[in-house]
Amino acid sequence: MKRWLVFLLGLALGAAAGLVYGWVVSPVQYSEASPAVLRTDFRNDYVLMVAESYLGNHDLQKAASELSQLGQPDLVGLVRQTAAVDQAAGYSPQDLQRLEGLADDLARAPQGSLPTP
Amino acid sequence: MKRLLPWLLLGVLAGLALGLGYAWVLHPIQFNGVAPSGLSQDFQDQYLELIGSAYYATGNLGRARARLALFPSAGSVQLDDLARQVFTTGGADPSVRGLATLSANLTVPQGAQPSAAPSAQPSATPTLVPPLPLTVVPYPTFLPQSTPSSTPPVLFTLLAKSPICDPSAQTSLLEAEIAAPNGNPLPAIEVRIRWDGGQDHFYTGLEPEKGLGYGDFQMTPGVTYQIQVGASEDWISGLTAPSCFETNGTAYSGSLLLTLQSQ
Repeated sequence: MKRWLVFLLGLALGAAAGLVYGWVVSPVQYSEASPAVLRTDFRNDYVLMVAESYLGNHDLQKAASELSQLGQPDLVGLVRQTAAVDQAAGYSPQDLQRLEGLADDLARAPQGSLPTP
Repeated sequence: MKRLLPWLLLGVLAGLALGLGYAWVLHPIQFNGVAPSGLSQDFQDQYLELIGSAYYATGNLGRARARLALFPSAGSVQLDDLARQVFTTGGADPSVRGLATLSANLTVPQGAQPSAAPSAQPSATPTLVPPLPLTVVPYPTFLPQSTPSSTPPVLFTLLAKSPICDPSAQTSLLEAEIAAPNGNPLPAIEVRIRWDGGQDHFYTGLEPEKGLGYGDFQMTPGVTYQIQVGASEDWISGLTAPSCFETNGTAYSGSLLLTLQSQ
């Protein structure tokens, strides 16, 4: 009986140590990830970069392909949502115009002509 | 007591295994998404390419630096390598030029201008060529001339006339982005400007960080301008600095971006 009590005590100590190590000392690190799991702020900046890049190359296919990496099927919604978030965050009118311009061009593209996730 | 020690150790080991399994597998620390440096190498390269391409389009070096700071290992050497890689795999030209320009301008101290300030009247020896370690896509080394030595497109079509409202901008610019029908920017295109009581001209390509087909001229608010592009004989008229409003209702003069394409 005493053995089981000691075993359970050890088990509790070991589990506590394991949790502290696994959550605090060495939590799970993510690597080899795809853009679909980017943190929200980086995700928004990624969409803005695509809009900025589109300003220079006017390549809607490329922009759609880059956006589709984020794994969201509604690309127009994704860009408009980012514009709304960026507007609330105080981004410049120029940035917002770029996002809206990209969203408008994506919306105007014939259905099925652009890559999707 | 000595007989109980193995049981204690056994319990600790079993508990440790259970604790780690729970913390790492069953219920890992809350996942809020990864930073760009956590992406796979392919996606990291794509991300860097996008930083270069965005920089090429906007010329915003501060923002590009901030984005590059997300990749502790990204320096000018890596950007050059990536630019070569993109170039050899037939990647988009703006990406290559963006990466190369960004790489070259990373050596510019923060806060300093990476290239010559906009000027309507180019100097005899323009300082348009930043140090560029990449040799596969050299910048044009033209000197602005009345008649560019390359074969210029004869006619240009105005595709868009877009007001640009930026309250932080100090001046109202008449900006022109000129491209070939395939979308490639056209440097060394002369844009002649006239207005009631004056005339001037500028060339595209003097600010490569804003695009090789880009050129600008400082407008005076309230004045109406006409422009003539390249060898075109037609004048595009009715160009004025647009009226913009700050969020508090204060009016100011914005810039005007003209997108032109050769025929």
